[in-house]
Amino acid sequence: MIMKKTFYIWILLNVWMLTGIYAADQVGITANAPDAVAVGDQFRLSFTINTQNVRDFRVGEIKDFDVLMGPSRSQQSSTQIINGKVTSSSSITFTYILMANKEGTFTIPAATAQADGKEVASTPFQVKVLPKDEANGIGGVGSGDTQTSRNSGTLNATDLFITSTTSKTTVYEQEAILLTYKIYAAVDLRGFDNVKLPDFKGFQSQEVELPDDRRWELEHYRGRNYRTTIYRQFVLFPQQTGQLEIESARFDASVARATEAIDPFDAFFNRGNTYVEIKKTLTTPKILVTVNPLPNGKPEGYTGGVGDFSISSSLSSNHVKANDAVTLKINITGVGNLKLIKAPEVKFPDDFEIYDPKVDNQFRITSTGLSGSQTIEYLVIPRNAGNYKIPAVKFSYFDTKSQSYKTLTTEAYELQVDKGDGTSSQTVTNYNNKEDLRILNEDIRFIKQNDVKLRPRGGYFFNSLGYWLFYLIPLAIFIIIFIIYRRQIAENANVTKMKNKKANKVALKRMKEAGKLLADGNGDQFYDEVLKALWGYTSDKLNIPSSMLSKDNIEGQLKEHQVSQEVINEFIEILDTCEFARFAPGEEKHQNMDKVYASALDTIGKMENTIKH
Amino acid sequence: MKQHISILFALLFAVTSAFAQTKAQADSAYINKEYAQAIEIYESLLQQGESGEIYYNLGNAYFKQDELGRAILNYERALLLQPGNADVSANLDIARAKTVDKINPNPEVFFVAWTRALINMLPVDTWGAWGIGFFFCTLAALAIYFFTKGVRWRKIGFFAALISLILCIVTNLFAFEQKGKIDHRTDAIVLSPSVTVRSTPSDEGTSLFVIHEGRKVSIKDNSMKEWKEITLEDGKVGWIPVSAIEII
Repeated sequence: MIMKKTFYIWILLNVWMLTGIYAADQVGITANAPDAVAVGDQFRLSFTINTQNVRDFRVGEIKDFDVLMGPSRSQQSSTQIINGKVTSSSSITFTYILMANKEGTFTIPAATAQADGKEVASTPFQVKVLPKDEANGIGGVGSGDTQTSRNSGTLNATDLFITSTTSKTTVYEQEAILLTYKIYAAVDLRGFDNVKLPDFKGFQSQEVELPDDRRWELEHYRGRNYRTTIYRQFVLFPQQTGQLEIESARFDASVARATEAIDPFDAFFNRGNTYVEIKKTLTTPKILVTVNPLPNGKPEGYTGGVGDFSISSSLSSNHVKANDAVTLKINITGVGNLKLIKAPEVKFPDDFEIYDPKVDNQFRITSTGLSGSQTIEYLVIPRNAGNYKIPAVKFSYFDTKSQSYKTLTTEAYELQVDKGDGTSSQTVTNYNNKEDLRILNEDIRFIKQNDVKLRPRGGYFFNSLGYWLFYLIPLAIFIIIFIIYRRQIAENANVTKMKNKKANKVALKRMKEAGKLLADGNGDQFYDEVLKALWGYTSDKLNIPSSMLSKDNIEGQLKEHQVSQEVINEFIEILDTCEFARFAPGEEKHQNMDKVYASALDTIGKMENTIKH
Repeated sequence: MKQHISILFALLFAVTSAFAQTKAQADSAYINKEYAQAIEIYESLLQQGESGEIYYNLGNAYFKQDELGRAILNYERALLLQPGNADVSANLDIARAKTVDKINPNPEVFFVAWTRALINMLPVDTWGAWGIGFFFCTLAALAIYFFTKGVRWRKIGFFAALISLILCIVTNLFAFEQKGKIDHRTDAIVLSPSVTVRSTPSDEGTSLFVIHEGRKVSIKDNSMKEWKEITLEDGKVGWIPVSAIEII
């Protein structure tokens, strides 16, 4: 009976809470009854109207249940003063006590009333009536405690168990599975401790957040009525292929068991019932999941997505200035393994500065996987002006519905970049506005497509007969010409070069002779010899026959050969001295001989240095 | 007679055009990324004769097929026929960079290296042509020397003849050097992924070191049929089975 009492109190509390919540809202009727009951159970049906000004409350005919009592009317009102602000709420509740007498699903009809002068109605709802417990036939869960093995200290396996079920047992890699642990209790379950859940080897697991106010529901299972509730739920994404095993989970349950009081004193205080706590270890069976690998033929741009997705994109602006940031947003929405999707690759122009994409996940865990959206923001900064193309982004995923790969494409964008302001370019370290050539990739150079001539192996022109003929024939021709014109050649060589070269030698030879004559004191012959040496030297050196040389033209000739005026004067002076001395009387001849000899040698030396061919 | 000549011409034309077509076919196969087919055609062309461009293209095709050893072999052959070709050297460098072995060449005295670089600037026939050119220069300069009267011109002619003669001899020496390289090919490329170099020409020989695909070796002793004695650029010597290498 305790069970039932707590149940009622709980409902009442709920009702109060509900009235509190709805007080400020519009006037309406809220119906309340358990979702499922067993045949023979009594239960409470209540209609709450959140105002006290109610007239003409009516409920449609409740024909599928026996009305044991009601409607009984109760009023609640509350006033709250918070910081001087007064809020008051009031409500009227009409309560029926009903009993289910046949199994099936029945509809509780709508209730109508005139509340605050308005016509309001509740929504009809269904109550499931479950068959009676077959196993023991005595009492239902709904009627509180069970009489199963009432007098024994142990629990049957059917009294309390936990099932683990998966939504699918054959899935593709990365396809979500929902694993549910559900408690079936036909006894008074107090709690669990020492819960050991499997570690989900080979899966990526994500626990589903269950609502806090979940309730125990009645469920008919294998001939018995159990109070059931979902204990925990996980969404699993298989990460491996093959047979994966979800290991068993272990729960240590503690159950309160009422025993007949033997001690009358005890029975008096405890209204005839005492409770003992019984511990029981529950384990769930192992589950095998077959994970198939994704089919072959993954398309280009496959990012690992499995599920059902759609994609959209947006560009922050398609007309910017250089060095202004541009954001490309890609939004992937859908259901699947959203968390494991890699950001699709965007081929921005190589000239752009690209930052790591920012990924913003917004999803909930649902029984089919993660549902929600993933927003990927690519921040890029165009550094140079120009018209750029941001190509379409391909996003491929495996569609679990059609069991095939699908490729979605976003739109391509044209981005016009103007020259930036001076202000914004200051953010860039700007030394000389020149960048190093960035090597994007290295590859071999391309083939040569011109037509080529194939040559036999080792077949080259060099060192062949033809090659040497190129030497021999011109050489032969040259030699023939040489022979034909040898006289002229010889002449050219003798007349010019030889004379020139020997001029100095001859002159020096003559001067040597003159030196001897000087020593002997032979004046006439000495001057003669010096004159011959001078004239001969000039003739040879200037390549002019001696017959054509005279004192008159020698000055001009020497000047032509860039002999300085000083040397020319000296030269002519020697000539004069020599000619004069030849006819001078004896003593005078001898006086000048040393001086003339020295200056003649000096002059020849000077002229030899000056006249060069 | 006339008919014969025309038939002959037609045949000649057919042969040349067919040949041109096959090279173009191989090139288009390469462009269409059908590298295996390109390799086949290039190889068959090389049965008829050789050409630096075809060796180069073949090297490229092998490179794309990830056959580094053969790629390097053909680049080396192309370089032998067209020394100083920048494209060939560039691709050879890329292919070499992908090989396993790190190459530590012995440092050469700078003028030896310079001379080698100078010789390798031009292929054998180009050096030969330069030699002939310089020989003509020599003769022309000599003619000036012999047939002019002016001392200045005679001097110019004399020295020009002397210099051209020296250049003629040097270029011919270079040409002989290049010819020697083609005639006596002593370098080889390792084609096996990896090969153990042994101390004696047999499998029982002590393992000295291991060299990998794409490594260039020079053959020191070519007398045996199954085994060759090789030296590496750093001076290491050993015996290698002939099946593992191919002479450039």
